[in-house]
Amino acid sequence: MLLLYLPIAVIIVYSFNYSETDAVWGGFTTGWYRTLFANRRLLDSVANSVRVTMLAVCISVVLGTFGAVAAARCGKFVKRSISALIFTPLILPEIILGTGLLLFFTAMPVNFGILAIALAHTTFCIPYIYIFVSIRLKKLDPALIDAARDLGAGACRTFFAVTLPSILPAVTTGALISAAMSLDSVVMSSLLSAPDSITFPVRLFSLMRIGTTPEVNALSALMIVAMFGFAAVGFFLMRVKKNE
Amino acid sequence: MFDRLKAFLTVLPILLYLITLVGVPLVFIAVISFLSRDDHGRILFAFTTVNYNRIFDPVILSIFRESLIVASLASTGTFLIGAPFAFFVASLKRRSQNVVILFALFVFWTSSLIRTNGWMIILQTNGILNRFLMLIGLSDGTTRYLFNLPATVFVTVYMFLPFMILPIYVAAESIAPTLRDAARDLGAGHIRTFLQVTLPLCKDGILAGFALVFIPVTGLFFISDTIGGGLRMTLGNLLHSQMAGHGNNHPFGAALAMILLIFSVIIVSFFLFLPRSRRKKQVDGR
Repeated sequence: MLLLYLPIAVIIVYSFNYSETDAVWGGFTTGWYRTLFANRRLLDSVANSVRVTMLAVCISVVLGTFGAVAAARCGKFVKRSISALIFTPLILPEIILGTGLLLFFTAMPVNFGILAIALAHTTFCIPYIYIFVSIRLKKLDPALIDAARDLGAGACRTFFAVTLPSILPAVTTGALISAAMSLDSVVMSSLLSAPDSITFPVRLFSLMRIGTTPEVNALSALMIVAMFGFAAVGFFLMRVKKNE
Repeated sequence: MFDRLKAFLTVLPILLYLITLVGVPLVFIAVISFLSRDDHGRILFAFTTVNYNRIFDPVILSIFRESLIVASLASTGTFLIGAPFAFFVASLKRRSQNVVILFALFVFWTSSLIRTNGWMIILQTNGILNRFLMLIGLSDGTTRYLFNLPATVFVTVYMFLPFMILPIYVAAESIAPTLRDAARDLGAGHIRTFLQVTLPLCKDGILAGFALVFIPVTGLFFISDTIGGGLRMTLGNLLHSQMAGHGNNHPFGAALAMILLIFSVIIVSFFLFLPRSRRKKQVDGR
């Protein structure tokens, strides 16, 4: 079990390695973190990643949540066709839909740039949000919504005052997981990225083929710590919500 | 009737969105795989089956074989390690089960590429593994652990282990303990109970695990490109190089994606949907 986390630990330890090659341990240093902040290309790729992820998660949260709420009221046939379309990107190898999306965006008259990567990411982000929200909706007592409607609230008001607050934890969980997936995407991103829209995983992939520097380990370590921080915050928020 | 129309109208945005970004691109693959291209790599609207004929080129066929070997070894490897682990977790107390499963899934929270890079540091010549083995006298320090098939399979197994553990665990966990007790009361030993009660009831979970590992591995390229050193091509590498790399032949790439798509659909229906519908029939028949 601990073997699962071994490579993560190794990256963090070696980001403090004085030696320039990854192989030998040459003493403790924080110097790589300093040189990292001078490496524009690496930092730009992180900025691109953050932009793509924020765009993808925002679009996915809106579409996934409303999709799940809307689908819950539809007949079996509509529900099934949505499920088929939603789960296809999760079941198929990512490279297939990546190929399709590349062909699709190449055929478009305008250059989508970074938006193309974000839109591609929504295809695998929406499912996570959709699944979590659908599960939560099933547990929601329909009498609550009827009560709100009987008391004179419109469809909009019912949604924002009754449905949304009760599905919010599910939306948050889905959003966090899809953000992690989007930040991690190598396949889709490397197919759709242009020289000016390279994301961190794509840069890391090309560096790994020629040999990485400890700077990369330092950046990876920072990202690992940031992700664990996010998870801790998410966990904490859910705890607080429960205790209220 | 009016209500149903209203419900359909609210569901329309997501439906259109998914059709545009999931359905249409798949249609693009199907259409472009039958088109040709000019000398500059631009797509020409002229029907051809040349992209599919190229697949029977011995070089391409060997790449297909290579992918199948990697995917079979990786899914067998994850099964051999993941299945015992899943059964072990299912036998734990409820609370520890949740902790262990959460721990196993939490590793996904870190980028898979970063973890692959971690393994590169561990496995490289003069790396941690080699030094450790030298220390206990098992290696003379010259063995290469990177850039070969075993290393690729090993890291692939590592990466996809949770996909095998989870469905088997879910299946094993949902077996009523009374069934096992009944078998034991009827005189079956531990091994016989496992083989005749637990294992058959987990069949769907095991099949799902195989599908969840096998399918993505056939389209994977970054592990064989880095850990494998890019020396042996898999279908994922070939497709990636046709679409984004120097090979750059979009119609041929589309044909490869089409083959991969058909292959995945076959595996999915055999391993995921068939067992489910059969079980449904059994339940309905009762």
